[in-house]
Amino acid sequence: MFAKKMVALLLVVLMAVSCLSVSYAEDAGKGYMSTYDVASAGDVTLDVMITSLGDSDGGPYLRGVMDEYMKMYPNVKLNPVECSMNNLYTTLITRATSNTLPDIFTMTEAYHANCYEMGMAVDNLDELLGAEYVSKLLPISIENATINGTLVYMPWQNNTTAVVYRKDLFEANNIEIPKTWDEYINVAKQLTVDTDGDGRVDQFGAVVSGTRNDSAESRFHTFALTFGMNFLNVNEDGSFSSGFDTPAFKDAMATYVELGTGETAPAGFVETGYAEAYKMIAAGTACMYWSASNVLGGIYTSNPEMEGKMGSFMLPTAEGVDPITSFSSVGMTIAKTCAHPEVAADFLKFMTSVEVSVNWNKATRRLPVVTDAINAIVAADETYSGFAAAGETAVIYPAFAGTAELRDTVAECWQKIAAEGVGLDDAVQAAVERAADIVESYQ
Amino acid sequence: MVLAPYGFVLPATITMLLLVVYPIVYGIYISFFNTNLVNKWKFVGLNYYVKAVQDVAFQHSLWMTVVFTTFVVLGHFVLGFVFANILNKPIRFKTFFRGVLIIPWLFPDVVVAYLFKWILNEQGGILNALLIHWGWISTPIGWLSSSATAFGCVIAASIWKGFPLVMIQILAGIQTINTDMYEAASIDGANGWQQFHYITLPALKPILTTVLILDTVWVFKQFTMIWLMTAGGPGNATMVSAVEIYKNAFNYFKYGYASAESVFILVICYLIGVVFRRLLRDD
Repeated sequence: MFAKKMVALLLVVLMAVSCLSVSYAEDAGKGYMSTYDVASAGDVTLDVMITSLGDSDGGPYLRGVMDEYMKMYPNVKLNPVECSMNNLYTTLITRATSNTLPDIFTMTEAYHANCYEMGMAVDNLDELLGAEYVSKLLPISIENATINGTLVYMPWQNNTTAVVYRKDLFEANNIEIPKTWDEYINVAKQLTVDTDGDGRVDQFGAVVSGTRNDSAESRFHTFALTFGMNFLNVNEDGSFSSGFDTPAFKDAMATYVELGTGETAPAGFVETGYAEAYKMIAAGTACMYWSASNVLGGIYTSNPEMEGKMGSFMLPTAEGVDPITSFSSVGMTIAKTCAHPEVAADFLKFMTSVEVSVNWNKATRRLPVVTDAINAIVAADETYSGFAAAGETAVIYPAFAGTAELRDTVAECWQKIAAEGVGLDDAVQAAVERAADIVESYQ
Repeated sequence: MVLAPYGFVLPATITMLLLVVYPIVYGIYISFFNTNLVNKWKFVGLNYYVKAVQDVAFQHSLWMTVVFTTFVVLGHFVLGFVFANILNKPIRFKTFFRGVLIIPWLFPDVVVAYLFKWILNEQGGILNALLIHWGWISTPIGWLSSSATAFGCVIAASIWKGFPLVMIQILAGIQTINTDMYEAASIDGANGWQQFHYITLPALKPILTTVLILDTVWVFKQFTMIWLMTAGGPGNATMVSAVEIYKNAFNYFKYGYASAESVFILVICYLIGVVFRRLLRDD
């Protein structure tokens, strides 16, 4: 009798284990951490508004990923909704006010505080994704996307800033990777040459963005860190104070303008935005530029011959400042109005699986935040080693609603110096005063 | 039967209320709140209006808008008059020239802005290339990179974009003037300027009034060209009110304050209409 009971118990245990194994095997077969039975969820339609859908490189790939998911789950229909990054915030606010938010939409660290305040997204995203999945993402990316303990969005694109450079030219000229900005300027001078001997410089050492938009301004924000300057200081009582009134800001501004308008930079500093800069690198007109890894995609798309010639290194720093860079991310979140948040979360996990993330990198050169995927990408392509190293030193900015205005202050400052001939001291003083007013107005 | 007239005007009234009155009233309503438009509505009364009046940046942008509008509208009318008069002459290929001259107006603002941006580009712009080729300059000029030239360039591009509409309106007006009047004036010994001053201008007054009001208000609200060419820069050299308001609303998410600034623009545009109608009314 006892033996029979033991056998029966053993059979039950074996069956349970085999069922679990089958379930795990299915998940492993899908290639991502699926924890929800999507196939049994009935007919599901989700509007997916991801800004990359409109990109020439990432768009087709992303649509392919969506098709693959729908093939896996025929009961799910994913509707791609295009929206450019430039129009994202106006679209979101318009849709939020009319209660027509897409089920899944792009979210950034620049807007997630607004998203949180407006209650646009689900407040249990971490639960929907699952602790195990979240543990596979870079901790800094989770910290960056979290406000008051709520994961506002699922980080996806890793925007760690590093310098991309012409590795082939460095090697040909036996140039060492610069560790300080003084060394960087010297390297830039070495690489500023007249290559065709017509009496005009046609290859510049470095290019710097001087446009008055968030792309250039956020680059300065990171650059300032390497001078030991924080735009904002968080006081003990939780209030903020401006970090502009420091010698570090003045030094950073002086160096930035020198890099942008000096002899090592191509003409047109204040007209040079991100697109102009990477096209100069692609054309061989410039040799160094700091950015997130996606700049490599722009360079290779503009000039495929650059593939294999590029490298990356950590941002140099001012004397006495430890290596540092900024981390930011773009990701997706699920609308509070979404009728099937579990399915939406499952799709997000699918599109950020290790395999999909690695292929996404091949299509766009963007680095993901999935740790295993980053390791695989860096192991396969040395070009990203500088970004990986920079990631070790990355910090995130404090969530502050006036960040965009503070950034505009620095662009106004360098444009006054470069375009209006205002002296450094006067321009910096005006920036210091404006920054103090902005910080005060947001207290 | 008594209600029938109201029924006829009802569709138009509803359309006007929905598409014109509601947005204006809602915009004014927002200007009294510190709001994110979704779940934060903190009443601030007239604070934003007071702040706008005291805001140096807004004052600067208003002044830039006035200067921009004056030069652009003036440019539209000068070019419009010149080309309308030329097209009114018995010249060969008149239809062809009329077609060519209308082209700038047919292009979308975005296309024109990028066109000029690339023409004026410091690195590879054709203007610099030509000037260097002709030996007029030795190094490229940053037309849009320097506050000394950026505003002028934006004005020039806006004039080029908008003059055909004024030209067509004036041409249409000129062609309605009876040629007998010019013939009679000529017999009386009037010269070209006198004919223009005493015949053409008075005859065109109703059209000019309408075009002037419309053009001034349109240019006063100009956003696309400036935003795409300079985004208000370099520094604040081209920071007109429309750009300033856009930045406050959609870059800094200060919807209430941006709405208050917009109400000022609304009032100014209304006053422009009133003033022009009074100045140019037919006595």
